[in-house]
Amino acid sequence: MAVQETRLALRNMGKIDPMSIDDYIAQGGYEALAKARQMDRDELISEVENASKLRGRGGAGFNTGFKWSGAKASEGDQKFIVCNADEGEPGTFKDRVILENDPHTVLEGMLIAAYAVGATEAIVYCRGEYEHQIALLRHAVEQAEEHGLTGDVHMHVFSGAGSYVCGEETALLNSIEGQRAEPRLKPPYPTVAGAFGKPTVVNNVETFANVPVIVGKGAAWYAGIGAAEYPGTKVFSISGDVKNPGCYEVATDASLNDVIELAGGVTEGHKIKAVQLGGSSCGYIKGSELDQSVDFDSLRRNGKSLGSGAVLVLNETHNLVDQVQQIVHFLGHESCGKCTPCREGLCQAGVILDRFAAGKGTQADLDMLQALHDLMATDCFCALGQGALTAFVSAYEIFPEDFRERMVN
Amino acid sequence: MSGTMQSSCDQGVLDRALERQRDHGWVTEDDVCAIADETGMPPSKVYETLSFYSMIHLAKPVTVKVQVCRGTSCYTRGGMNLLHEIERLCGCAVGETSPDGTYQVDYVECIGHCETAPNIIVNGVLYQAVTPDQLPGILKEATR
Amino acid sequence: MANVHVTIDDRALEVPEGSTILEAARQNDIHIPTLCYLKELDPRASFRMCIVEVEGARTFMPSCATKVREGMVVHTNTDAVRAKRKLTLELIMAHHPVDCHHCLRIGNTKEQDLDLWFCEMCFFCDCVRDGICELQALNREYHVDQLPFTIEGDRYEEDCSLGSVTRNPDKCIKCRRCVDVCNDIQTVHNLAYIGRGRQARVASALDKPMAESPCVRCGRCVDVCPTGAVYMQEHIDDMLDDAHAYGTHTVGMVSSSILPDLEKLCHLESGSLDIHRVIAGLVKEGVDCVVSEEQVIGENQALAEDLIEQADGVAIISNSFAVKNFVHEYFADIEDKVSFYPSVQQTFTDLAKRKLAAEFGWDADSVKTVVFTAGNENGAEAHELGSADFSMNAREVYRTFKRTGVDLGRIKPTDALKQTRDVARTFGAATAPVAFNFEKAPETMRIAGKKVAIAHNLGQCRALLEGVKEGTNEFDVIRLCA
Repeated sequence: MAVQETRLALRNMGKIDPMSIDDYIAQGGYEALAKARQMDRDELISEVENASKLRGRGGAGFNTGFKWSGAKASEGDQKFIVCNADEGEPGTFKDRVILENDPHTVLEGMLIAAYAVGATEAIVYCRGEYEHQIALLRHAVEQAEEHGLTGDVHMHVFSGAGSYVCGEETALLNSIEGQRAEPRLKPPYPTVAGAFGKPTVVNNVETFANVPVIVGKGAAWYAGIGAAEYPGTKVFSISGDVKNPGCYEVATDASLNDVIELAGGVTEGHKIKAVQLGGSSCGYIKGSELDQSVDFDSLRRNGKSLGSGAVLVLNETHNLVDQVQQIVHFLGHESCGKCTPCREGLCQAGVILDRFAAGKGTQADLDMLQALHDLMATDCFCALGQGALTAFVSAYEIFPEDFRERMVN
Repeated sequence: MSGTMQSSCDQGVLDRALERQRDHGWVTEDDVCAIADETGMPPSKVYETLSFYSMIHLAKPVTVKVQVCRGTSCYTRGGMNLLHEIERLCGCAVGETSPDGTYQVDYVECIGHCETAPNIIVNGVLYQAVTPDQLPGILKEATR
Repeated sequence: MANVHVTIDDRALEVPEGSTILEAARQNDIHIPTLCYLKELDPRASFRMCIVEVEGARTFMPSCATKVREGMVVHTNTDAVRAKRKLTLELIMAHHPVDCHHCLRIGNTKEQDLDLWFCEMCFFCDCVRDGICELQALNREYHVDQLPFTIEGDRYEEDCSLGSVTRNPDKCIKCRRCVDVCNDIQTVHNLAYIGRGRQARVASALDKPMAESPCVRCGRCVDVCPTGAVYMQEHIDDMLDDAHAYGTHTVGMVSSSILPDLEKLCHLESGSLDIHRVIAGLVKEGVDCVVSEEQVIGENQALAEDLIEQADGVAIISNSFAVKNFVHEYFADIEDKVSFYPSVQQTFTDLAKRKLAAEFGWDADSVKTVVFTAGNENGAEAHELGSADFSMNAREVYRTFKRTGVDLGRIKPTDALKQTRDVARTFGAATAPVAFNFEKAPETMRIAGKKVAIAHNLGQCRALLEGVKEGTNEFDVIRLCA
């Protein structure tokens, strides 16, 4: 039985003109906002936090309502809602697809959050490369303002300018403030002192896109979809060696096989060697082990991670050394340069992996990569460094022959 | 801080820089100082911030990239003479960018047009059997 | 404040709530190595030398920035922690110029090679921080020896454009103490951390040479640099040449401000070094006569006293070279309200060339003046204005002693040349030498019915000058120091 898509975040995809707020309203848009504004704030937060159990779709899987209640409880003359649209994870493009099809659902989700926590400032921070989507967002903000939907909330769209580490929420906040996008020390957490030192909720695009659905159809309805502890849907960005790469939204109790099948399966005449699920900082899953649920917790129990929902399918022609080499160079380029293990460790790991790529790896090199991973996983300042060599460790564990093939002798 | 905050809250430093970059291709020193004035940040801090982001150019982008083939055939047929002449005309050594940022001179590995050596590539356009006296014309053409 | 109970390295401790693991450890004599940490600055927690294992935590924690919690169990010195600290150092050393680390005078063993005492005898090395470098000390502590990486030094150009404050980015370990002092404490806003990843580096404003930057030459970046990445241009050889040359008469002035640093450099107990031993050392290495700052200061303070008395309204006085540059850079519109008078260094040089030369029957042109002081701005002033022929900080003094075989631990004290001139000093407390601090608020006092403010850093100067500019100043006398 083939699994069907369940479109919540992408519910309006193809049905509306993203430039038209009237189209969005005709599909029931902004009704949830009106409904939310009739609700008691604590009740609204409790719906999201306890009843819907909505969890962050950016990668950390943190309970969304919990962030909201934290920000609501924090003291501050001004509070911020920030939408993390800095989608920089290689192989991930779901936020782009949501934004370019339905920018208003994100704005509506943000406005509901703003009402819930009492925020007057709402900022969408979108990666600079998404110029078209930024223009769409700005247009949508104008329309929402014209329609009197924003109330006392000032909405702004901030552009990034090419930095992967901005996806880390405190780095993103620094970027909004006009600083280098370096992660901050935590605590204090953003819900206590975030943008400009004020209580701030940072949520992902997809998370906000789910909020109007939850408020509109009720948290109980939402909680009935997908896995029990990670309910709802997840939008997967599927790329690599599949027939129909693209975004597919499925209930969270689907299996990884289902997701790949939705994308038409592996390209003709090949078989799947491995899938990298979650993005560059995540490990590989063997082609023979794809029959597992994609919900956050069961993956974690299996030592995998859902991450951003990127699914990179690799057929048997790939040697994972090349994959790992690319990833390490990418992360080295994106390292903020703050902490020593990440800045210097990625540089040395890159040198070593270049040797492997040239077929000149040694056992000492493998040991050093492992030592660098051990160092970086515990000592790095943020998740970028901590997970930078996870792909290596996973690739070497599953496909040691790929590395042996590239060693001297 | 609060005065600064209101203005930065309306428009980010990055947006201000990107706007200027769209206008004239890069962020000049004057732009940095203007952004500093607008946001109340010190110029050194604005520069620090902008230098972090890969989409922002704090130096004038190279307008003409000259690549000289260093394959054996081109080398044999006077590629190095061409290179020296190009270095003189562009005002910079191989691997470098001219002081005004207009020219960048580099090698390219054999491009497989050995029968017409020596070859050079200027902004992606292949020029074959090039003689030194053709160079001023080729370079002038590329700056248009 | 309440106390919390923590266990550090199997020791049950009771420490104040809100302290960091590092503070808790240091209060109890537990050693945790640090590199970027400077207690007066906000922790950046970037070098990752002070990481420790906290039971139950997913990762290791930077002890400088992690607050203690009730019941916390910390291990600061496990094998894993030590191995990771060592690897972090090795990663840094893979790109660090090794003109100190790889000694040409090979000892019997590598250990001996790196041994503090052995190493300090040698002057083949070029690094100004050799022997007093925080990175070098950690490399010794962690036995960083053979590096498991391809060693490749960075290749940045040294910025000597100022002739005084010099930056060598190759030796930078990116702790950013200099950036923080320049921006947060001194509010000069020159140094910045630009670029990212491996290419990230400290640069002066807009990545221009120091000479074209807003640098005011306070030299505080030099004071905080743990390695040889920012330093004062040295004049050891020239000074010693003059000291030993026939026909040249070198006259020195020693400020007691160099004593704490010298004690540290010479491994002497804090407070044990008598300035008269330093004077004896300087005489031994060939300086013809030496006075102490105390004997010149009266003359200088008299100048300040006059300015305060003559002032119409608020008296804003300064004898600091860096303050002068700072005011010119940031407060040009009220520059004329600040009364500048000569630095102590200038006063000393005037005295030496005029009075001492006549007294000893020397030709004034044959007199060279050398000032030994902790203030780096004096070095810059000497270079740019010629207010002394040489101005040396504690490190340079230490290195001249090493070079000439002076051992401060053994030398007998000598009296300085007496030059005391008694001057009635009402505002003595406001005109005396001022030591730099990291505080945000200036020191205030009341003298002879007047409200006096003394700025101990440029951030405090900025606050006071802004008060003057905006008309909110409440002080009668303001002394500005950098």
